[in-house]
Amino acid sequence: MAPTHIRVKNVDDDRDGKVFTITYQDAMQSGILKDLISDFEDASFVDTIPLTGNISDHTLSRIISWLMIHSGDVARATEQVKEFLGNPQNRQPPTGLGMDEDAVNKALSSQERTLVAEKLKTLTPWDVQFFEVPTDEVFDILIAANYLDIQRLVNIASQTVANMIKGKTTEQIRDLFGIVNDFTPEEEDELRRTEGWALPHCDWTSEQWQ
Amino acid sequence: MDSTARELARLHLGRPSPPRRDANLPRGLLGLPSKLVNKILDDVPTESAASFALSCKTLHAFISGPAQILSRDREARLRFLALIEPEHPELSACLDCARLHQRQRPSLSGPIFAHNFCLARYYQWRARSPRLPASILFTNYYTARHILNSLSSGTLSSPSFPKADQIWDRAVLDFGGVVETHSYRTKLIDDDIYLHSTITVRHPDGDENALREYVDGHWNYLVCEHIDATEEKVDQILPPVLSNLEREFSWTLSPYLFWDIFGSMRSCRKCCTDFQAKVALENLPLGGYRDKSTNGVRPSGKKRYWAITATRWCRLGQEPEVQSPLDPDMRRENAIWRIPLRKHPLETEQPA
Repeated sequence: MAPTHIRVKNVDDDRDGKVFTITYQDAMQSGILKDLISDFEDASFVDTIPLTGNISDHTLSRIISWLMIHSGDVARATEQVKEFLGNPQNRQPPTGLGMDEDAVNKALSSQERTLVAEKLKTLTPWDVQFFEVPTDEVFDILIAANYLDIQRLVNIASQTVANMIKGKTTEQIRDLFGIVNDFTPEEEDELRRTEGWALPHCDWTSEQWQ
Repeated sequence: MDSTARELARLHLGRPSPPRRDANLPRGLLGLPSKLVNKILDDVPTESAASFALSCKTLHAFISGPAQILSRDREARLRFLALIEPEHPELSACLDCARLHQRQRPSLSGPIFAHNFCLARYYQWRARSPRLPASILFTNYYTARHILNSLSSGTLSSPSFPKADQIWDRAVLDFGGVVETHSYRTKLIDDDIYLHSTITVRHPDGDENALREYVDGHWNYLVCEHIDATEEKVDQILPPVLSNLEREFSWTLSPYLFWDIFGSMRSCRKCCTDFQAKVALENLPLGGYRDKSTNGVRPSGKKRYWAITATRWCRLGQEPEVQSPLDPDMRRENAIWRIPLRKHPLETEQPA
């Protein structure tokens, strides 16, 4: 029988981190926790699942808060999609919908699956606020989400970083992410010339862009 | 936590742990696995990805695609040039070949020369538009490129103090009796340079309806990028600002109202442009223009023309920072040109 709550903690070579307790339903959103739970289910000697991903307690707490907020998203999105597609008999999600995304995917048609995936990709105002943190922290969350195999959080974090890059000049991007410009002026000139962005004079012909 | 569980966790995961935080390893964006960088780039438009790739050698080596993609997608390439152009004051974006060229320094004396790309474009237009005489195409293009260039945020090359108050480009176009005159000049007012452009259409039939039909059918003159002369939107115009400067712009309003905007000087809400359109019945010498009805022979005497005139004033700023009115800085709602201007001395003069 599946437990109702799971205890996780960071484990490092030289220290043990803080113990966090999350619900089984929340934990199942993470691919790695799902694997670990299934592996440790019969191992009664383990009461806390160890995570060895070098995740800081602060990052882990933020990720757990994200999992808690987005716990029933799949069920809600599925319901909305089914309503949208006009299938009143399917309004009730299949059994265990909120528990396992695989079960949901199996129960959906390909069209419904696409729409649900699209819906889950959308950034909510809560997500926007969630990522209003220093850039380094966004990357920490992204790396940790990737390690914990939480695909939706990875998608949302990637989208957040992409939104930061959009419409920025090279210099603004360097400032934002603390990237050091290691091109010399000569290399930059060479780059512009070889990649065809700059020429001393126009050589435009009408056929060029047709 | 006992070591058995820890080891079990590692074995069951079947994947290596992320690298430990080390001072020698790159942090932040450059510390991300390539899979995640690729995922981020999936959501980034091509022009931003290209800009991103130029930030350092590591990213440039990683993102090899944008240069190739940009070579195929002209629109993305132009957006990319618009993105990076402000960082390179010595370069200007060419709308024709979609590349950066060395910007020519403002010329403060001597005649105005067109750039090479300008000439190339001019010949292309001429070849493709046999109906339009070259002079008017050249004038239009020259103005658009050097005065109203939307991509460039750098210093303009053409208007300058020595050329102020001169008509520096003029073209006359005769469409079977309907005559269009385009003229541009710069004027120095209160140490600012203004671009004054006038386009006049004269119709020889003496019938205002014929003139209106011609204008509706053929005239696509834009006052500025926000206002189309053929369609006024009330929220786009303001009471005039620049027109207070000169007495010559306190026009007597024409009683002939083709459109609501006719007669009074208006100002665009978004850019530093004042404009006016007026209609008048003019007596002009017939010999000034060739008329097809006379088989090319210049007739003598005068003829009454219905004329429509659109006048536009753009404030370009003070030298050497003469800017296009389409530059982002000039388009800001709180741009400096919006500050109430000093009244003209003639208006403020008090009787003794």
